[in-house]
Amino acid sequence: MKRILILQDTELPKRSNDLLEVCNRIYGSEDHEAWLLAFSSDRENLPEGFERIILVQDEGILTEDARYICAIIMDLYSHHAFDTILIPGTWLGRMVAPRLAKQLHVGLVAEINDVQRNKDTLEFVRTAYSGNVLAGITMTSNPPIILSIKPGIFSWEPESLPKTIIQHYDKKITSPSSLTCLERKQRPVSYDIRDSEVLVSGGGGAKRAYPLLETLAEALSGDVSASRKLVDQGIAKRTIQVGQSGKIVSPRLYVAIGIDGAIQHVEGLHNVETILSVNTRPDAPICSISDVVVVGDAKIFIEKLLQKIALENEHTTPDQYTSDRGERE
Amino acid sequence: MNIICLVKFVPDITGFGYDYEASSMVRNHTRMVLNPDDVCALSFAFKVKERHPDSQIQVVSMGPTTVVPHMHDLLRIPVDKGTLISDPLFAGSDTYATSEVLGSYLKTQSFDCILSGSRSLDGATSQVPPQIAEILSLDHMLDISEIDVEKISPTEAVFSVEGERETTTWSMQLPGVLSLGRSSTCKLPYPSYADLQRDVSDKLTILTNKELGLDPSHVGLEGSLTKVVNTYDANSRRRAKTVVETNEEGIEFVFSYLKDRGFV
Repeated sequence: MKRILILQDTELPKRSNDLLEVCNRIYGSEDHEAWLLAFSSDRENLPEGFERIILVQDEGILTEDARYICAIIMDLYSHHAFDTILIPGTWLGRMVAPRLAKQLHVGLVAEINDVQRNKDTLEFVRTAYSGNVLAGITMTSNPPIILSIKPGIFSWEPESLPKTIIQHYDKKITSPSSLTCLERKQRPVSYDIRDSEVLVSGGGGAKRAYPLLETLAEALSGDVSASRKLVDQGIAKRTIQVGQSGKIVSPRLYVAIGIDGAIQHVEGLHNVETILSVNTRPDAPICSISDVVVVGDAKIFIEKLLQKIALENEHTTPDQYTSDRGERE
Repeated sequence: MNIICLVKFVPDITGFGYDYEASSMVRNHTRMVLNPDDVCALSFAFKVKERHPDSQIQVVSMGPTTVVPHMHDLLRIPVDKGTLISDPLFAGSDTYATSEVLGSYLKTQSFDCILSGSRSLDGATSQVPPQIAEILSLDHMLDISEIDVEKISPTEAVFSVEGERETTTWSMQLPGVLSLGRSSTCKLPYPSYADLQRDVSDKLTILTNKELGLDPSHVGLEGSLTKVVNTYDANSRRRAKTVVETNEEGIEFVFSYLKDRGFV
């Protein structure tokens, strides 16, 4: 029986079970069970699918202290000798996984987005060379296998749910860390582009048209996202950045406005149903991966399309509009 | 303050393209640049030096000797000291081996603070800074958006991290390792005109394994605990595109296309 420990994704606790898909990909039909290391502050959001959940009574900032979390994992490892440890590739996970690998003297393949089984060897796939190539990487160190997992790539569909045992972890572990949180300021978050069904996304060529993206997004019942270029220039917020250094998104419709489609950006598009790109250059890389390419100026395109949508809405009588909405509700 | 900046020179990927039609990488005009996140780290070091002119900045990098001219550029800004760790023996090191090499040098140095970027443009998995912190038994923080230049001292740093839903402000005892995220406002000073051509080679130390004395089986490809065994095309994503223009016909097409799929 193989045993896997998964660290809770503290940013999206309920999504922690997506990492169970990684376990399935590694072990296939081989008998295995997955344990989750979770924190009591997330008690309400414990995900399904784990054989055991180890619940740590945390006090405040300790859940954000990588050295403390490593100390707990090392303690658990000394008792349970996990075959594999999976860490979500979040802000916290990216601090925990490298330290843990050092402490256990094992290699780390970070932010993997695929697992390939070739006969007896396991290959962990991640983007390399600035995202231009996918590299299949093997571990040459002894077990355990430590991986950090790129968020938003794997998704798990339960076949059958095991009965979860919840085990409280109340051992007192002192953190060697001097970190103290002085202040927390909540930021109003209107939306998370990872949840959006429709994204209107702006790139370097949409600088002038940027204020219009919001209006188009509204007309398409979607949200605005951006490429790194607009974020680096301070025009768009980093929280809505798509791509290798931003977020992985999976909308049904992705409208790429003035986006060149550098590989680091395309890296952020995962299972997108329809890609519509607007670009002055028909040979921009994004055009090759689009379903529809509009060659032309971004501002003119948005204005004309908005006009067209408004016109069509006018033609729809108020009665039809109400009944349409009524049916949907 | 005694500051060490860990930097890396990376291929400037903004000059890279990908030809999806031919499935090949276009690598014309590739040049090496200082990793953008590392620019932020170095830029902060200069802010400290401006406030405390007796501060010392040492830049430490690991890579081939082809980056020597780039190190010289930094020494003309001027960074006080440059150290380039370079030995063919270290080539092919994965992050585990890389942090071992850098860590073995940093152990010999005295410093108040190690600054680095959070992500590198080419690898982008931010493994080396936390591993170095682990080797040196120090605290570390990733994705720092701002360090308070007024509050930093040889014993403490105060900084903030912009998360998804909140901005947090932290204090950490120094020495420690602080990794900055990229921000559009980071700029490096320009060298003075007189310094442009100045010979700065005496400020650069190139270290090989002769000086560091690491077990050759612990570094380079041999000392790496991960191994790249395969590469796959990351770009098999071509779609059957329909090309239109922004004329009436084009807008009509887009509208119908979106309507058929229930988007409008």
